[in-house]
Amino acid sequence: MNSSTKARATWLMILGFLMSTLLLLTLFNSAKPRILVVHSLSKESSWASAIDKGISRVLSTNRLPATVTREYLNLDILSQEADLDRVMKEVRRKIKAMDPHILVTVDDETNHLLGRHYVDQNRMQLVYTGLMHDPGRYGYSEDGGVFGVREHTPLAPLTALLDEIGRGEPKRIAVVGIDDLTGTAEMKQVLAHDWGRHRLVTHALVPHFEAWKQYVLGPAKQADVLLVLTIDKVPAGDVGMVMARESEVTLWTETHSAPLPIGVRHSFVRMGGGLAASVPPDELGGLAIQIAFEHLAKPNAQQGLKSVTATAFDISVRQSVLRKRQIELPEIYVQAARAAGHLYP
Amino acid sequence: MGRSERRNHKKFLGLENHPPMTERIVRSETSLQTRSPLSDIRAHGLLGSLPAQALSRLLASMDEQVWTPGEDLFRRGESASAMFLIVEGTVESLHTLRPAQDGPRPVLTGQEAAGLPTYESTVTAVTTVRAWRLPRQAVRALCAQVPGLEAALVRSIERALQAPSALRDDAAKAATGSNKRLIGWGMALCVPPGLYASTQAMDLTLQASVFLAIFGMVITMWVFSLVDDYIPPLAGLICILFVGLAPPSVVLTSFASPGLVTLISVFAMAAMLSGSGLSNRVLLWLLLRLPDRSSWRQLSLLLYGLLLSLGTPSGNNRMALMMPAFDDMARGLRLPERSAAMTALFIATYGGAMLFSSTLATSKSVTISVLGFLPLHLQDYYAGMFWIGAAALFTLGIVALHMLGVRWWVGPQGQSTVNRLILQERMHLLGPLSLAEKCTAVVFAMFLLGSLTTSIHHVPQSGLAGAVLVGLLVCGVMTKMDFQKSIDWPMIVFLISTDCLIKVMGYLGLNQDLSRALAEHVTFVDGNVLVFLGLTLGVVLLIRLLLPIPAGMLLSAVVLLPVAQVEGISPWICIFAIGVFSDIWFFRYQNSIYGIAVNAGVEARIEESVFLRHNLWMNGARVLMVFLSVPLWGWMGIA
Repeated sequence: MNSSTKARATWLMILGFLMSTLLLLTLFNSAKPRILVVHSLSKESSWASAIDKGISRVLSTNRLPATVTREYLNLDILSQEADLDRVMKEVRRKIKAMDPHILVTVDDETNHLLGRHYVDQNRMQLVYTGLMHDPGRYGYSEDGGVFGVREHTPLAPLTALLDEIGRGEPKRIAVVGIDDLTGTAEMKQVLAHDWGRHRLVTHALVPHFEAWKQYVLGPAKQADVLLVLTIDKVPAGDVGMVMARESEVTLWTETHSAPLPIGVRHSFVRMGGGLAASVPPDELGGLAIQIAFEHLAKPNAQQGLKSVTATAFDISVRQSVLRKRQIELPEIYVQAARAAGHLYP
Repeated sequence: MGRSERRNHKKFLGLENHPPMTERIVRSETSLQTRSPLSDIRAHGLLGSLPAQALSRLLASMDEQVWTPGEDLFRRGESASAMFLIVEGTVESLHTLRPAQDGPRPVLTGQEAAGLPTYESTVTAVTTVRAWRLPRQAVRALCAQVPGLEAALVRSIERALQAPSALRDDAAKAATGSNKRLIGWGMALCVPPGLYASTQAMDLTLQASVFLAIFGMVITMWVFSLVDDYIPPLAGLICILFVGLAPPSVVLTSFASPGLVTLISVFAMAAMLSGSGLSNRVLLWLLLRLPDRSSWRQLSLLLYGLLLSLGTPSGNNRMALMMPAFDDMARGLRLPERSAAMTALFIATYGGAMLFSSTLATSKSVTISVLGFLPLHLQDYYAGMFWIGAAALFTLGIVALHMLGVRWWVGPQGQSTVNRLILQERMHLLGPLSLAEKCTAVVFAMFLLGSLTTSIHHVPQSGLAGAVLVGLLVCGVMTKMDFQKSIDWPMIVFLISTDCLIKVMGYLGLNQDLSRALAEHVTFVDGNVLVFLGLTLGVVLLIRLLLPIPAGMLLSAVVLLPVAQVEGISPWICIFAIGVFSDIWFFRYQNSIYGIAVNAGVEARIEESVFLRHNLWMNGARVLMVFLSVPLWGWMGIA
């Protein structure tokens, strides 16, 4: 082979090397697992951002190459003129374009609006998280190959907490929530729970903030404790989809409620409330993404997978509010709140 | 071209009106022994306008040559190994309209040496021709030093060719046809998919397989020298980013490390040390002051190497800076080619570039990167006086063994004397210390002092180095052009990207796996420093069979540092031994520093077998001195 032939052959080799490398890398990239996480709330909401934090925590320890994309339905900030059907159509179009290997649907709203339509997809594995209703409601079953994380309001720890408040006497409990999917599911859990020495005296799922106020200033007054269910989507009034700000609802409730309000979300204390016992949302996000990666690692071994219920809970405390109500918590709860970073002065 | 055509061609170029050639030849013969090329350079328009520093350096590498009529100065297609400054006689160009003589002033020919791989035309002596030969390396160094010179030289070829001609050096390197390159590119094509498939078959994780495939590509490109050394790790990083094997914050982590500041600053200082002419002045001073004996001249080269090692963190750079000194001495002494004296002088040159690479933490840029694996407080502690103290015995011993080796392997070198007239002329040309030299000297001294006293002022080395860089830039000693051109950016990219590859390896847990796998087999170390040094020697030599010095050092450190920690061995001993053992080489491809000398044509000038025997001796000396240093380290409390 003379030198010019060799040079030509070398150029061909270089070209082949560059093209094949580019091709192989592109092929690998296109075959790389894609995970789409869909939230019902907006990116800025405390709930969605906490779920994302949990997902990021697991991703930081993951070494399997995967593309994780997040999509937000923005139900908490959608304007009243917004066409929800059009929004959902757009999301479905995005899902089709991305063609994810795993679709993670966060909370009941997302599963109601979206997840249940993707149960029988061959290529796409559905993983739910933050689900309060029974998965069967959406057509999910482990036999059907749908797995995920159920959320259970930490009512047992709350019952134990009530034992410790005051002088230990039985408490009368009022419960208030919003009449939506999440509220209904939470209320169902509350009603089914065994409160032991304590007694549920009144409960209500209200349609909007005005009705909320009426309930708090009316029937709830007879109770010692007011259990405040999820309030991240509280319609401001009975017309349209304008939402009251979560902080506004929280502060109003904490200020005007005669019984001691106890939230079931950390955001209740962060936004001015005094006490909350909640499932850590980052746990819900983390567990869901773990299930997703387990599935990706062994896509054909579904019998190894199983749905879980998040059992962890956080205590959140705002000391100044509790002091005003002359509530003294056992030190263990204060330290638990401190350890979780949920202790406020 | 026929005789009449040639005459017409010469007429066309205005060569008929030259002063009588005989007179000029006689003048040259009478001045042969003492003649300096300075007056000829000054008579040339382009070269005569060069700064004094550049001229002084150029003088060191110029060699006088004479051609009889009909002899070719060079032929078209030949490797462009030199440029010629024709001072007497007439030449003609057979393929181009190259001006052979443009009047009584000297003319340049063979400007291809500035950037093109081969000559574009054949130039033949019509009469007896006398010219100064400027080796390609010196021309390239000059072009690097003087902005715009390369373009001016290339333009002069293009004018002669009447057609644009691109610089093709680097492109040519990638596509030069040779069996080795063909095989190399073929391997680069096959190794990554092969590695991926085989590691997947071995049930390795997907990410490990992909990384190993990419790393395999990088190593293949290194082993076969398919492209410049800095390109494979950079390509590897891009591949990793492309497939998202690790987040960008990990992939590019070293680009945001203090080590980058240190590297840039140290390279800037090295560039200024050379560019300002300070190092050149020191060498001339040493040559003029030291006794005119071969052993003293070799010692002066070693001292010059030591000086460069203090501020120039790259063996390649040191060698490039020392080669002109070697040429200068060899020519001045009129040493016969392949003589014992010539070989001994080159051994001293090579020794100067290599012997002190472990004397300071900053003598090797990769040591700075490896130190980055340690906690910050240890980095600062090790980088200062501690390093010099702990490495002192090794440095003294290796120099002594080097000198002994020269006596032993090279033998008697005869008598020769240096041309002091040229040295003095060069020194005179430099004039008094320039502002740039003064500033560089001050900044260099400050950096040296600061690095040595880190344990007192606790300023991290990156901070010191950064301050030095800012000082050079603010004082205007280093211009924007210097900053762009003088700093060895490819070397910095090479080091940082290789470091990033190792970090990605760590992120994926592969180096832990590697260390764990090794740790299972090295329980015999049992905390014994001597055994650990033996293990280090074996691992480094094995890795160095595949990787160049910087990458080999980084990978060796990744593998051995955890073992040292587990075995309770001082990490400094581990890093130092890795650095020293990495300088050991048996095959030419393992050492790019010797490659620089080979590219400059040193093979034809020395008795290579003697040099290689001496190198083997020094390989042994390195190992011996590391082991002999153990009692000192024991006394210092680290062994």
